[in-house]
Amino acid sequence: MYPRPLLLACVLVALLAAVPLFFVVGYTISVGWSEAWRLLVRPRVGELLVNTTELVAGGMASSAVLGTAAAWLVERTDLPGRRVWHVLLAAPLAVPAFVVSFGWVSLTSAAQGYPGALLIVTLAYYPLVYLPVGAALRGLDPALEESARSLGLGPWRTFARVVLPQLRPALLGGALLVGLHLLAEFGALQMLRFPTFTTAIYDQYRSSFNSAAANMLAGVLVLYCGVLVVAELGLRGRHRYARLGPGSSRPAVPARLGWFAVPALAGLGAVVLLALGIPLASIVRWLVVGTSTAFPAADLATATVTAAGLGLAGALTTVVLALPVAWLAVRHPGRIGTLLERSTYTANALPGIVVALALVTVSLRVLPAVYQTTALLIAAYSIMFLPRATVALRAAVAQAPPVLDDVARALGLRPARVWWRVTLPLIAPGVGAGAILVFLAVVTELTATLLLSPTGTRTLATEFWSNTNDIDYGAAAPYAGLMVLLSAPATFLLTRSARRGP
Amino acid sequence: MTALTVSQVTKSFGATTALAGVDLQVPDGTVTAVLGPSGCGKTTLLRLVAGFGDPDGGTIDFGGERVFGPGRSLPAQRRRVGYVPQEGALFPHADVTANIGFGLPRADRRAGRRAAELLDLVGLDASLAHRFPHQLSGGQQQRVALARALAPRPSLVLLDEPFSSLDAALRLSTARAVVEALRINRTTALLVTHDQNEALSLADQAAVMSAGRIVQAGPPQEIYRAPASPVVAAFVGAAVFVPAVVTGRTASCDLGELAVRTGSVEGAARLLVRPEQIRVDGAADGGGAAAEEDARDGGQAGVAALVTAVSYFGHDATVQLRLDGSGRTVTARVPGNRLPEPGARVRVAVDGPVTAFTAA
Repeated sequence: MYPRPLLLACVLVALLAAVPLFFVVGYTISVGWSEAWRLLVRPRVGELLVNTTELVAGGMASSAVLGTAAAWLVERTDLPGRRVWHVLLAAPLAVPAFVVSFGWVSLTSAAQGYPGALLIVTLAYYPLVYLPVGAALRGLDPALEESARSLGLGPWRTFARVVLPQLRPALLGGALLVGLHLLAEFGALQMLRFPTFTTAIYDQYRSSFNSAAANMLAGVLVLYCGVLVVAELGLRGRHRYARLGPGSSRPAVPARLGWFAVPALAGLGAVVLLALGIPLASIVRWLVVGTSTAFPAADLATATVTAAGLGLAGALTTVVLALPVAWLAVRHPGRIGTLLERSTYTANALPGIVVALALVTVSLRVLPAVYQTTALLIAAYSIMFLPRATVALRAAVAQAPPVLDDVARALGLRPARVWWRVTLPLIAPGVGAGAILVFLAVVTELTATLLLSPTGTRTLATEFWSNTNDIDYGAAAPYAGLMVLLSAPATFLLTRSARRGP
Repeated sequence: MTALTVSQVTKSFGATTALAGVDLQVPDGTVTAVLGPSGCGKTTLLRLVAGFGDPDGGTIDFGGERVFGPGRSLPAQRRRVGYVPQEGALFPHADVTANIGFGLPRADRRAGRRAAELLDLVGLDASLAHRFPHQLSGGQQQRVALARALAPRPSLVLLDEPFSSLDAALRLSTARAVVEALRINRTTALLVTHDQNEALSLADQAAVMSAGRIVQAGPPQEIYRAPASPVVAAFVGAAVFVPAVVTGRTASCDLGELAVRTGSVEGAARLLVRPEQIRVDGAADGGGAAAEEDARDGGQAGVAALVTAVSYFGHDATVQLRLDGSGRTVTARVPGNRLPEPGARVRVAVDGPVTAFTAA
């Protein structure tokens, strides 16, 4: 049923993707119960647990409310300038969270602590809810709402009893993504001096190379991520949410806001101002301040070239690894294909810090030659961004249905020619989009790059980080600006794919 | 000459048997329709003929050439069959001309003359030559798919439910244009469909498939009038089954004494009457009892019945009738311009010979 070489390739990719998980589980078992207990049951760990939970719960809730409200305003009302608002509301995705954090911290130290952290992560991550919920609202058949209205429900009850349940998968999926990003977030929170598991793991690792404590904390973090994923699956339930029956739905009639348009516009304006305006203004301000002393053009160029090189290598490797998995999942659907595909998604729930820690330990024990090499860094990027590439490539491979292969072969083409003349032209755009997404994720990646990059390797993210740590905001600003510029196209791609629906 | 011979072909997918020994002969230059309900294995048969998979056993020959048999399986790209899948499956990255020329050598593709020729053959306007598939209607896509399949002059064209995705009005005209193009080219074609109207109206030969076997193959008229089994009878059209006793060439049943086809069974039997064979004659006269007497004696044409329901389709209508004598309900198909009212009393007679099967 399955072609052997393809299956073998997929198994190897799945094994690579599972290295961090194997590491965490294996480490916990090898440490033993009493030692694990000693390392974990400490006041410090309890404090981290409270902090992390507060941040994750608060961030998910506020992102869900803000994202859903914004999506409803943009998709379902007669708000003026809805197209512009859509772009502006999705745009904060182009600003890495640690840059948002930088914008605020360099402005006022009042941003530090829980309220500041909650505000900043919400501003950085609410688009992860806004985009899927908006897409779901767009795909929602207005006939459902009309039926509810004709059955005697008012607008609010219609929203609560018909629209909201339909939005549940998108809302939960988006909130889950926010939660996982918050668990993995390092740069933004470190800058805000708000310790969570991730920042504590980094500190432990850096301060003492105390791998035992760091590894145990990593185990707890992975467990936390697992709980989130399972909770989301459980809450989503087994209902069907798709439209039933044939035919396409009509576009919805937008709700009339009336006088409510004024506070709605003010609210959205405030969100955009806080999420986008403050960080960008801050970068510009420090750019002006910084360049008045010295503009490090050579350093900037080196960091850009290094970052671009790493991004290119990471994107190519990840796409090459994801292709067999996506191909198997689309062309040979079945239990094994699904299992292998899913196993590459575990990285979604593995924070960069865990991936990095796992690769450090495993490489030192198994293959010391690769430690502190670019190859290991590329491997970390591949593991971390494999899920994005797989999702993009799945869609790409689905653009080339097998019936086209059949037709081409019946027309006399050898399999290699079929691949060249039919499959490749059809999947190329999707593969390219996947590669761009990975490229831009690599360019703005901070945590794993800090832990794994060979000595002397300087990227935009690491240069930005070391300058910020030295409170040299002027020197950090050009790096932040470049990262934002580089991220903009990826954000555009993301909003466009969300436009097409979930 | 026979263009395609399939013999004793079997194929299983895991525990499910898709083909349980299929025999089929397609004469040169004709259109054969394989007709069967979904899941009967007809698409599997088509794909094996095309070479997209190998049978578990049996042989497939194209004319004199064996393309599949013990120790031999010609790959799909060397079988020279034209393949027209459901919904056309045009290459989305190529325009109409490039799609049609896809299977041609590079030099012929450049010239582009063949593409224009084929557009004309399938009855499409030359102005469509540089459109992309998404800019065509469903029917146009289907015609381009046929042109693409015909371009390399294949010995055999395989069509897999090519019209099922089109709406009713387009389906008929597209199907006509496609078969017309096949006939002009004298191309042998195998058409797979679950639509009996399509099979009966388009094909020179219809082969009815059920549970992985061809249960009957022959000219459409024969399949419809003299089906080999009640299953075939019910699948190719509406059927009324009535129990009867056959003596010689006469069957005696609730509908009176009917003529049966030669070579029918003797004794207890199940009669097949097509609804359009049942003639409904005006209102039965007032003297109901007397008329019934006449009917029982067979003195006057037909038996008395009560109209219980009428479904009107415009061009014709179906009429539900309850026979006075037995209380049995039968369905008749009558022209739309001669309709009885529900509740009317009528006389019912049967035109032409009927088919008798052994009683189940």
